[in-house]
Amino acid sequence: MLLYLLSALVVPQAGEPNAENYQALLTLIQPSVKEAAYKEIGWRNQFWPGVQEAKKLGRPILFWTMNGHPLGCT
Amino acid sequence: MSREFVTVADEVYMLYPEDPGNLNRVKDRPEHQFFKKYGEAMPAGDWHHPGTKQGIYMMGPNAEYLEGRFAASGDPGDMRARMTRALERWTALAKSNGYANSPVPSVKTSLPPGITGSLILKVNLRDLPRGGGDTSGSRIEEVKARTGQWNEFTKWAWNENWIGLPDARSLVPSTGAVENVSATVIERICREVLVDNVRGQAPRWKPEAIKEANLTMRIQSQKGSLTQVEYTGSCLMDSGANSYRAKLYGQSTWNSSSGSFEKFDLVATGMRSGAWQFNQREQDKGPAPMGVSLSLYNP
Repeated sequence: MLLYLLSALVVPQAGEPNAENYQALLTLIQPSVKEAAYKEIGWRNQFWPGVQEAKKLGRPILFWTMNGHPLGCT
Repeated sequence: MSREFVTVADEVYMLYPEDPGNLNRVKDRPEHQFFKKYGEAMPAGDWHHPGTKQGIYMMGPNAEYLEGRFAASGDPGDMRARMTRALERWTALAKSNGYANSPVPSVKTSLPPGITGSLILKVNLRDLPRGGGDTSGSRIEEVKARTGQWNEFTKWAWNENWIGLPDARSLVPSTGAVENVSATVIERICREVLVDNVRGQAPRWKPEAIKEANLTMRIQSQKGSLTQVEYTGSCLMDSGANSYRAKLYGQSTWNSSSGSFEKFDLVATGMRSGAWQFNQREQDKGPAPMGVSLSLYNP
């Protein structure tokens, strides 16, 4: 719904943020709770220190990996 | 999940490079050897070799295979089943190997390596609506038709990035007049985060691609130690094959007592065009609207 409400706001100029619309644009661009749900997991940001921690604890590792850092530094 | 596993997110490329030159550089590193040992114990098809190792993997503390799959992000049900199997295998492995199975401490998600400075800004990027029934920029919960393919994410097309600036005061006016934000600051913002990585990787702009980079700031009001600041600007990045022309607007609240921002938001919207090798734009070169927001990171 938000997407459609904002269509009229954004499309005509496609690039004119101002004092009146910038809060709505922030809401549109930023993630919803569901999109950001992966952040409920406490992610360590480096593999090898994570392995050392797992060895010390005697625990398994769940490793999420991409070309470009998965936590957003692409 | 955080209670069962030591959860780690990291870049794969220099852990297990796809090209022989870089692979030769890292082949003796212990982290590469560890990941390689794990991967070679995986079933064929789940370990992608030769090729990219992007994926989600579950392993014991000595690289024992528990579960995992490359290009795993398109099918949440499959991943849930794999995680369940991994924990079943772990229960048996921990018992047979005598692992301590100590509680996993709760941790806060870390910033990606290299993001430092007195002002850390969280960057979000999204395709903006194009009208005519186009669904670009839909949120993940609005996308109903699922294929389970790895590139499913292109349907919702939101991404996150970060930038750390060394001096927060560089975005605070020193007088009551309209002032220019320094070229160093706005050009860094343009080069590093006003890029089209909504759907994947795009490189930072080369210096020569920055055709226009202006950001002004002015004090809107002051009350006690709090100063309200307004920002306006425009940018054009053009490499020939790719471009992004954006207008910028933002507001912040600077606390002179603490020497820090209490609030900072900057929005860029405009038309992007072109495609980079890894940003999934080959079929969507535009021009099309894209929005970027930069907001204060509160850990």
